[in-house]
Amino acid sequence: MSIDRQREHETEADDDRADAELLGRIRDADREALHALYRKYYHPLLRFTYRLTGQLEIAQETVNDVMLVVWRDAASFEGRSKVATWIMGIAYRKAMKRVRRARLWSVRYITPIDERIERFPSEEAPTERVELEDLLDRALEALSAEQRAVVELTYFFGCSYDEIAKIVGCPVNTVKTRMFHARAKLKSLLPRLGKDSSK
Amino acid sequence: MTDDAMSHEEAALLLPWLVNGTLDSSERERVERHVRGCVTCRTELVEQRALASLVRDRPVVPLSAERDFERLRRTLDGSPSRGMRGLRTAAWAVAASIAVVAIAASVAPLVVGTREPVEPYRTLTRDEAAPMLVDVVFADISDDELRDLIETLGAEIVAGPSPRVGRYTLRLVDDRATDADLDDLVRRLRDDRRVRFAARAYSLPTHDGADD
Repeated sequence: MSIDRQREHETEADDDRADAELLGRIRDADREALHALYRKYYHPLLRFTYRLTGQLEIAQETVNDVMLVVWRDAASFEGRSKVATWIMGIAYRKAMKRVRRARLWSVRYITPIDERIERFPSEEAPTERVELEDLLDRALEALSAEQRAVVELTYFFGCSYDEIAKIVGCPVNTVKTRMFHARAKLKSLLPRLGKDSSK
Repeated sequence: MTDDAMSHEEAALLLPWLVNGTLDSSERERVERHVRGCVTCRTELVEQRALASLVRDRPVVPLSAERDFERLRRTLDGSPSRGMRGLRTAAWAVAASIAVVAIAASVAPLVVGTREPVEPYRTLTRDEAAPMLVDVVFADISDDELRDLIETLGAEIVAGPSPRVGRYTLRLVDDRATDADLDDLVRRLRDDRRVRFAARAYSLPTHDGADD
């Protein structure tokens, strides 16, 4: 293991110990500890739930749903994963519940996926990175929420596939294949990926 | 175990975690060895590194944690909730400022269609085939101007802004509004120089927010 990687592991371990300490205080109904944990996780949770639900207001509500569970169920945390993994798992379940509820309502109104894909520029490829980022947003929208979660957890949050499996509550192989299918779809929608991004 | 050859299929599945540096040393070495001899995987690795970089650089929503913590605190105290309406109002001003940032950062062509799950308004369902909604993207506009414009038009925000384009979905406040009223709203939005784009929306708001 490289020195950098070892330091990274040590930092993560320290971080988890600090989280576990806060969770212990939350178990004893310490509001200050909840506030501290909230401040720490608010933006990561907001980003994650926003990426899954696509709605800022819903994401805000979901973050509070998550922290309410943390407050009420802190005693149920058994330390079998990192605190961060436990919290992200709650966030995934809460956000997916919102997404599923929305699907029931919106299935007949949502533009069919193939139609959306056809709107992607196919002839004139973008050359600016910012344009590629916008295409990425639209390409990510074409993924299922489950696939988006795995992409986000891998590339934004830097999670291992083991951690992702714990967060989304599925076997490791499912995580790998979900990511594989997401990559294939993104590749078909972003054919110049890896060619423009360095510009 | 590091001497075990890894199949192409196995290595290909693991490339994202080679990119994010979370494979254990044994697995990493085996994937790297395969990649050195596999053109397909080397190409894929370049693409995945580019994808990872793009995902990492996507903007984070710049909201205040304190405002939302206060809302949680009231829930814990059992205070009467301001409800969804209050939440949306509180989010509105912040969301408006995000739109300005998003728009400034974006030069993307506008996307008319939306797949994002959006808020339901049961009063909009009288013509289910044509949701009474409008998508709009603003150009250079301040928070106050944005609020004034929408209020002046008799509309309100039901969704948005979308992550990068800053697209809002609007409805008319008047539940009796007709299709003609909505078309008129689109026209008036398009006439405003601060509006980059306005069109009838494809999707109906979907979440009733009643059982949070």
